[in-house]
Amino acid sequence: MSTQPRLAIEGLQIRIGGRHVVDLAHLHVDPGEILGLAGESGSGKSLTAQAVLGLTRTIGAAVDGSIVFEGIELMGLDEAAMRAIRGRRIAMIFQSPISSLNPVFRVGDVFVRALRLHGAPSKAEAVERARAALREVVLSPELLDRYPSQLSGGQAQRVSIAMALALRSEVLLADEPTSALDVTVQAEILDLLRSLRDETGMSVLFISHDLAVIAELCDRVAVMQRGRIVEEGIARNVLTTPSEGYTRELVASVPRIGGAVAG
Amino acid sequence: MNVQPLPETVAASGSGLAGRLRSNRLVVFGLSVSLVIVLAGIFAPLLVPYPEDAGGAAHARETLIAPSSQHWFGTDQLGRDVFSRVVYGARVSPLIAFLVLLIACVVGVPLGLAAGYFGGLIDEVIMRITDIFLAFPALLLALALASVLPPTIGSTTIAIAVTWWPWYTRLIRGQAASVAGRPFVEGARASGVSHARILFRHVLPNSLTPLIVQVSLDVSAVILTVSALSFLGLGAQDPTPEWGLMVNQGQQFFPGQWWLVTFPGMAILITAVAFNLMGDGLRDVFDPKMVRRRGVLGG
Repeated sequence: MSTQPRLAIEGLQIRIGGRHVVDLAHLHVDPGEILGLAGESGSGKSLTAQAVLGLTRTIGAAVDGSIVFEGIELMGLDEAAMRAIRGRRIAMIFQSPISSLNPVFRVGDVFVRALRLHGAPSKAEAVERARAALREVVLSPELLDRYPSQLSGGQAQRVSIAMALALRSEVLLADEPTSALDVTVQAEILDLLRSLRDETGMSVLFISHDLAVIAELCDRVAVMQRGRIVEEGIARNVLTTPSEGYTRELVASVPRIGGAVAG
Repeated sequence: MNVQPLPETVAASGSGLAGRLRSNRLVVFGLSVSLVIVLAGIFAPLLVPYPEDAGGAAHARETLIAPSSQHWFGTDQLGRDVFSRVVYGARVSPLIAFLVLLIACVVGVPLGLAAGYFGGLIDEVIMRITDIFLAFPALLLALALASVLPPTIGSTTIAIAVTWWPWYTRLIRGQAASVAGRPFVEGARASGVSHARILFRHVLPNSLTPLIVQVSLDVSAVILTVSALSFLGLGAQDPTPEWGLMVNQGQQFFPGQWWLVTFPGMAILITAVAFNLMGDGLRDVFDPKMVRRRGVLGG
């Protein structure tokens, strides 16, 4: 790529209790690109995403290396500057969409607070933007009056995506955003992510252990094992003709309907 | 199409709280009696026949009169109307209880929030200090403090509050720690919310339910402690119409002049039971499992 990557991670090392859990030589996401990050549980995918937002310190992890976002070195950035980037320029969505919304607030309260926190000039303006964002993710603006427990999983995940959209985030860190949803809802969310990327040029770091989903959605894929990237490349190529042993195992471990499960 | 308003659900959950409250008669009883006690305290001057007897008045020729139509609860050793003093007493113990619980919450809750949310060293330091306070039996510690402080209502309040806050720190810490691990806290962090705001806007509201129940149950415990301290001569002093003090002063006349001990004693009992029932009821209201069990048992 001739353009500068939107997010570039170099030599990222994360240690928890003296143990190396992530040792990432290089990973980058280009503008408007959807990068898949695959790997089994505990391979360090989520930790990598948390490290980008500087959220690993609260769990007692030691982080080293360099994370550059649009020319800004995020490592060692002070808390106030980091807060201005979190949610606003780099947004994150999570595996369990309902429980990642505070149950005691209405969706609209959370939404409007987030917009106000990141610079909406007035409450009325924030409400208007929130309503518009919900329409963009094909949800009724009436959902703003609901509590998270009154949403379905798919609706809640759309709400989370709508927040990133309303703030015009440049990067979306999606940590297993569809693995708690049923297959049809999952397909809707994937379509939504793809069309948002096409319309806004948002970059997406899509973390999943589901190779089929990654093959369908992502432009490139990086496969992680025990904190290291073992293979990286164009998503379809990597997943149809894996060159590395671990990736082959991962691909082979996906059960196929009608075919023998390869082992 | 995938969006349908749910007015029934909203309406049902709205009336559910009031409905559950109404269905539980003991709670309604506890709540009403508590309310009557509070109102009696507020409007005491309008309710009692001899307001001056609540203070330092003395009527040498009317001492130790048995209950009659003139003095419903009789008079004490200084000729003061016991009924007036018992009603005025509703201004003392419940007020102290309110202040004690307020101080205990103001001190205990933020410490518990910080300990549970941040964990690590902050948690260790706060909880070990809490443990030191909890290592002493509460009444004993309050007694020790009250005995070194001047015997006033303010000292009583402080002495009891010092023994009370660690319980709230412990209670809130456990809640805060479990709430801090829930995904919406990480979500809030990831959308740029500050620690302070997360603590008070996200963790606190989700940790409050057990605190509300505990506080309402504790009202009666504090009232009993206040009375115990006064009874031992370490709290309110004459002529304050404090119930425990009145029981203390009346005990030397007990076999003959039973009304000096009985009426303030009853006031303590009724107040403690009423607030306790209210707290129990709140716990049932907030705990759906308890309500269901009650429903099965009660038909």
